[in-house]
Amino acid sequence: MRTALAIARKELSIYFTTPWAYAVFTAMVALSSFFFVDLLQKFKQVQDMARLMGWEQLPPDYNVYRNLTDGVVVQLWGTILIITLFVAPFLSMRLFAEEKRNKTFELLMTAPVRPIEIVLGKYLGGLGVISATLGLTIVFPLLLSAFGKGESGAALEWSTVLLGYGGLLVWGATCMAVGLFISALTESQMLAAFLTFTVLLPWMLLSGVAQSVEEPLRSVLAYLSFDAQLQNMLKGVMDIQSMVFFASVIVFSLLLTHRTVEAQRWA
Amino acid sequence: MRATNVGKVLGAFGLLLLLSSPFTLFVTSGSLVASGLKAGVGLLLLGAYFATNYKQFGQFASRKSSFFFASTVLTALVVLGGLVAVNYIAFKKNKRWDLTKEKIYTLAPQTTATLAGLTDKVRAIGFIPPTHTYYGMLEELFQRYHTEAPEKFEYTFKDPRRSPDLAAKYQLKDGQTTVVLVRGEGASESHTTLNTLSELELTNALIKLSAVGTQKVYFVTGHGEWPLEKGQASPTDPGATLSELIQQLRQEGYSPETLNLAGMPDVPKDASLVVIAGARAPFVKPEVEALQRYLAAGGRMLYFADAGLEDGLDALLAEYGVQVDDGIAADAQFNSGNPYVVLSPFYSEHEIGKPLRQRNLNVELPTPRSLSALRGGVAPGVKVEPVVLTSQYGWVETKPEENAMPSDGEKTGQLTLVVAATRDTKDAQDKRFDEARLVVVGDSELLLDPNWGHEPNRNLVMNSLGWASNQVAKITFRPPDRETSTLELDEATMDGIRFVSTDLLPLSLLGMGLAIWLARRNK
Repeated sequence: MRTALAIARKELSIYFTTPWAYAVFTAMVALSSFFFVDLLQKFKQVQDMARLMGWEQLPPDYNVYRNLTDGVVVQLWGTILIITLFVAPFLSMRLFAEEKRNKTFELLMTAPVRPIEIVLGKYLGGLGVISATLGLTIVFPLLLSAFGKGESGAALEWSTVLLGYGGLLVWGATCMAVGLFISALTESQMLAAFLTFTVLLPWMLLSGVAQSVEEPLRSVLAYLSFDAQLQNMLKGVMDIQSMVFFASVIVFSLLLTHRTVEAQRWA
Repeated sequence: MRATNVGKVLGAFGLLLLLSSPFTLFVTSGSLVASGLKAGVGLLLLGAYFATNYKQFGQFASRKSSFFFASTVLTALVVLGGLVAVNYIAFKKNKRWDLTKEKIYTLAPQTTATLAGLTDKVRAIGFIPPTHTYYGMLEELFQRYHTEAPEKFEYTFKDPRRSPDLAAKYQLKDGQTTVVLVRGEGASESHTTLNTLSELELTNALIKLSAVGTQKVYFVTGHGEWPLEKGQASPTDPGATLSELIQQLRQEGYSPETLNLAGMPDVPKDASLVVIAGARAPFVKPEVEALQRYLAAGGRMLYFADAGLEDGLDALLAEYGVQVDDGIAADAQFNSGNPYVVLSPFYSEHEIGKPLRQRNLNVELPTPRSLSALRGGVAPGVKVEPVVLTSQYGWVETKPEENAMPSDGEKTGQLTLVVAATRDTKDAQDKRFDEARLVVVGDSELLLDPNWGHEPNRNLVMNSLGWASNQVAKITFRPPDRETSTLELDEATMDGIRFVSTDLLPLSLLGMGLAIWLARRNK
């Protein structure tokens, strides 16, 4: 495990000393900020309308804007979920593909390190960088809590905010695990990013497919959909089944990565 | 270019086409043909890749690596199987924690108590297409009920257009989205429907379904009332029976029976509801007194009048503030072809008419009588509310055979066609319920078999029946919601937040990246 942690530390130091990671951080923050300000503006408009006309006069759909957590944060997490789908492949693409392209992968394989330690080290490094990327978005609820007010004092329902944030981190961890496996398959970073995206996107869209089929296939597809599994967490409900599902995807991806790395010894 | 490289390019395109085909189906064009074509071409191109690069696979599966390859496939399959099993258990035995402050995604205590009190298994059928806006919300609601009582509450979804047999069985109309709660199987199956999709309505429907199985509905006979079964119909008018209504009552778990009050001291104790439908011979005094005693003790009654019928129950109705006017109610505003067939979209706020108004259903009453509210001689604790009315241009035609226009001396304006009366009977001796309920409908022909297919009329009758026979007080609870939070931002503060989040923050990160890049370049 110590070796794995050393590899993770090395990965992280590489990430944080390359401009590429900062470009990804900037993109993540810029996009999230755009949506955050838009949601905030909408929230403010509806609240102003409600002050003028009363909530009863507004359409029922606007009830979500009674509360900052529902009206801004829950919706913001939903948007960041989609942004992560685009950002994560760019963070995971280099994990193995770059080593292969630079021909350092063979060196790594001849070092006294077990493949499991390489895989775990790389994954922990990737996990660190995706957590840092998503960590930047916590600034938005902090800003809201500084300016908003609630009936009982706190503007935000922090239990919901943090569970939703936990859901985002789990989603990021899943994306990195899938990306790690695909990165181990190729030496082209762009191909790794593209393939990761093309695997994650349809997986995310499974909930749409589920809507057009009958039971019991509908339940199976809805269960397998990332989107459907994350919805409850974003709203403040923790399900054991979601945790088991994401842990399963991560474990299976890491297993496949391990076997792919191990295959190099046998090739 | 070498064939293997061409194959790789084709394979990449193939993978792209194959993986993006669901996107075409569900996000962009929605065309099944386009999506299928993309997937088919994708598979062909992938086939080309495998055909041109088969040697690589051959090398991989050489003797040296074949053991590793086989063990990898086996390990992956075993682990996958294990994970599928764990996920299946997690799905079946899912535990959830509602971490919201007000527990807004948790069932109300009244609902959990109702579920615990269910004696039979109840199956909910959501007749709603998967693309409907409320599908997800309803599924989540059902899931919460099922998680709370997995042995007693099950649910399925049916698209009403894809399951016309079921929609017909539960008498749902095309495009109608609703929930049907079913209890029991086969001949003993009973059901109830609800149109408003909320926890409150679902729980109340469960209570109704549980209570309804034991309810006896007595149809009074002996005064020329409409016969209940087809075999009892008059040879001159074979369709004039209530057999369709009786069938629906049985389907919904009621027990309909006939009741001849002649010689009976009282209405039977087990009566949940008494129906008088189109009586045309006068009731004798002991019969009227028996009905009066029944209602005074908190009984429930549905009374259907009709043009030209006299049954001697005026005094009983007057006690509950209702008078059946002479003549025929007419309204040319919505049915100019025949003003005596009154078409009405006018409902009061009363519980019986509210679902009809919400669904924009017009009732159609052929030759109805209008009803007037009385002030004098009314029993204490009586409250009368109109339910269905004509338009402002209604009138009572006293000589229908002579003309079909309002004449001098005839009552005009918005007439009442259906009323609901209640009487406080908490202090009554040997009371049946705390409140007597009486619904008076100015028309009885809407109950006859040929008219029973008219959905709005059927809804009116079944709603009246449901309201009148309801023994259980509806539970009411306020669904929890997140507390209201406010955000009072002036333009300057908003500009500040916009500057920090969209400008300062991304630029700082970009600046850090630039600094690192320059530092590494100058090393």
